[in-house]
Amino acid sequence: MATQPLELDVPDESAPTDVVAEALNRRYSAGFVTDIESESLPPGLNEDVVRAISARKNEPEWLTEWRLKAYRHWLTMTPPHWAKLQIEPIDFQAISYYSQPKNRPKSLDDVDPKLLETYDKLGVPLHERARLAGVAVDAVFDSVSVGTTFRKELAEAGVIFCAISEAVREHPELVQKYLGSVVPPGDNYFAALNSAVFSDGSFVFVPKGVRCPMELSTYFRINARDTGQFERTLLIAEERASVSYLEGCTAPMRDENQLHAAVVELVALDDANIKYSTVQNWYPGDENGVGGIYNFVTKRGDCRGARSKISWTQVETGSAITWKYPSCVLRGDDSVGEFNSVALTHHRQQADTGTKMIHIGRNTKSKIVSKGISAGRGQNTYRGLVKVEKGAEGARNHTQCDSLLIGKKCGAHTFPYIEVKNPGAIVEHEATTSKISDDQLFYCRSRGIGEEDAVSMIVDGFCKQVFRELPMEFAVEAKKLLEVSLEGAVG
Amino acid sequence: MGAALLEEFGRGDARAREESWRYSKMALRALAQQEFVAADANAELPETLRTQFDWPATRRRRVVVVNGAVSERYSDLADVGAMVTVGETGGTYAVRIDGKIDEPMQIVYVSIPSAQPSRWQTNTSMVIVNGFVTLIEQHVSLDGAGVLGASRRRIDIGEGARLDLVSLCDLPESMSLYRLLDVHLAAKATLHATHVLLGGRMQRLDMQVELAGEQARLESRGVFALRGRAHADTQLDVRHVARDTTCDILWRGVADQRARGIFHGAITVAEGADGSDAKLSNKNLLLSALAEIDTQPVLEIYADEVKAAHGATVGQIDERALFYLRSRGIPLADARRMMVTAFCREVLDGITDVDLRNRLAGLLVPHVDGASA
Repeated sequence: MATQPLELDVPDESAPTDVVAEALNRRYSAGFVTDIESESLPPGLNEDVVRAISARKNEPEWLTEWRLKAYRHWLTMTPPHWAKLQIEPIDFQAISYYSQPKNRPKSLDDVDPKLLETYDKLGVPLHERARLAGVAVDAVFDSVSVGTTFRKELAEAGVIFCAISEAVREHPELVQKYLGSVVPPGDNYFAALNSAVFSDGSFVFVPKGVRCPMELSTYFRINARDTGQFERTLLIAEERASVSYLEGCTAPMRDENQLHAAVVELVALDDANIKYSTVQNWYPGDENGVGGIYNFVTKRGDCRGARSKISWTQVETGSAITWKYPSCVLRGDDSVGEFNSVALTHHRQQADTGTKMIHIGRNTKSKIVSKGISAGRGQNTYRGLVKVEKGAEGARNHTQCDSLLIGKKCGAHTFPYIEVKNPGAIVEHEATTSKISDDQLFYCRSRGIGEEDAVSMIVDGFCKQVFRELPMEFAVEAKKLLEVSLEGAVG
Repeated sequence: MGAALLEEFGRGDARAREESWRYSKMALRALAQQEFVAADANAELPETLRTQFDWPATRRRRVVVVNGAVSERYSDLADVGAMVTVGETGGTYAVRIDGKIDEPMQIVYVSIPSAQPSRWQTNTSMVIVNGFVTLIEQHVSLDGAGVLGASRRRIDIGEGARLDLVSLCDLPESMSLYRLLDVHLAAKATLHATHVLLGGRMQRLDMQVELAGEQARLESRGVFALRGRAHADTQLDVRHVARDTTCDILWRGVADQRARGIFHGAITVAEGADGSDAKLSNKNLLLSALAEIDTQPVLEIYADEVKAAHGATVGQIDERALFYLRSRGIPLADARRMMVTAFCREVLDGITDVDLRNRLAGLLVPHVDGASA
């Protein structure tokens, strides 16, 4: 299967203008461009706000109730404190739960030159830069047409790929069946909050026996940029289905200190295969830790069927604080879970990230590769759970987590939890922490490679195992992102 | 009452305690539901217990603690003379060691059950000013109405001094024990500790070691071999504070039948502790479908000029090795025993005293004998 290029700057000529117009209208009807003010709810959270969000989306009764139930449960909960993070208390009443990003730049001239410089280094085409920086209209034409064309092709294959609010309208039976079945509304503090107020997100359904003909990406979806802080993604792969999903903002998104609490649920039935890749590069705050996104995300995949496989790959370079544990529940016999991660913290970024592998079925296998890089005053924590339940005969896990330290003020931490209740299981964990060795640096420099280039070469080698798991375009971008993010870390 | 025990046993603030007891909370709660009377410090030492620790080699270098109190009657320090002083202030025993003691010393904690469940506690503060000492520590008890012991010890190892600690804790099914070992090492000081944890209703070892002086060094070896309903929880917490400090940790665990073994090994390298070298290996054998092993190796690194690595595994006896042994005519049960014993013995390799090493290995045998299939 050929991967679809991420390039958007080639207009798709085949897209008939009426399709574009229709899509543009739909966009307008959602009010994204026209009347921003009217779309915003005042800050604060109560049952009325939850109802208002639900009403605005014309949701059916059951979903409104579902949200309210989640909200009531959320009220009884307290924010988790176990992560190795220093989080300023969040005032949940100060957040607007349904709003457009404010201060959207009108043109590229309004965008922070520093940000543009970053795009330049990443090699993002000019056309895309505008889109990524959040400049409103320009890029819409292309993206809409592209999105629509792809959608047609997908529909022919029987794949449903749309906004979750649309899925609620068009495929209520599927949404009702699977929503909250992997991450229940009361799962944790942020998942409960998300369940109550989620604004939008993606819905993917790959029916029995279908191999999704292309890599799916939020990038292609019209709403992607504006799904807001409380995104909800639901991805279902039926028996023998296979899908690769790319998520991410591929370049920095300028935002104020803002809470991003998303939930991602994956369901894999018998012999299904889901690959979920993320490149996360939200605004990390400045050198002094002012601003930046709080990225508090619950991601979980349920290998419900026998021989199913869920693979998470993430490259986390952004966000002021990351609290994220993409997990696999290995319920089906012979199911497989994978977690590949590169997490980088620089300046005053903090990351507490890792995974959970819950082995329930027989002969279930999981593999964890985690690479943490700390620079500046960054604090980087791997936290993982490998749990083998009584019935998981023949379960197998291997975990490797390595940390690289660049600088005297940063921290790298490893907190693995291993719980084994089956005597037929084999669980292995290894971790190392070191800095870039002087020998390695010396070797590179003696061959005329500058210090900064040498460091980025070594870092690239350190992350290779994970980058290999990424679709090619993402891998190239991830590599560049690391280079940009590490700038100024050496010397 | 569960909360009261939680407050009493453990380290750090409420949150840290809660977290450190996550795998033993039920065991602690069960203990809290029981009524305990104060154990009798003057109880008669039964002969069966005396034979468990009465090694001729240490007869005149021995301190015996009966139900938490040092017993004048059974202790004998004739051979170490002025190098060791024992005093007591405010309920804390103060032990001072100054000089090189060639032969091992022994400290024995004897728990003698009363008619009702009983409990004792003891606090010790030990200072090793200078020199070198080998300390064999032993906990012995009889099965009975149940004893809950609590021993808290602070050990300061002075500049260049060395302590070799060999700790054997072989408890009957009714005995529970909480131990806090808080060790502080000055520059170039060395602690070589070997812990053997066998049996017990609930035994918990909190060991925290601070490598406070440059080039301080910790070697920690340990093994738990559990069966029946035994429950052992080890929480190791090593802090590298000074430069060029080293720790090397090797622990093994075996859980059979309905036993539960917990190992937590945390290494922290503080800011400025450059040149630190930290290593931890924890391997476990889970031998029964009703047993459980939980392990948690932790690294917290705040300095960049360091080498730190840890590894942990939970698995079974290598089938190929078993097959090899059987193909040479060794019956399955014997082959299994050989494998498990060898697995545990690895931690004893660092003990230079051959006699002592063999004694410890011998004590392991009944705990791995006839390991279930």
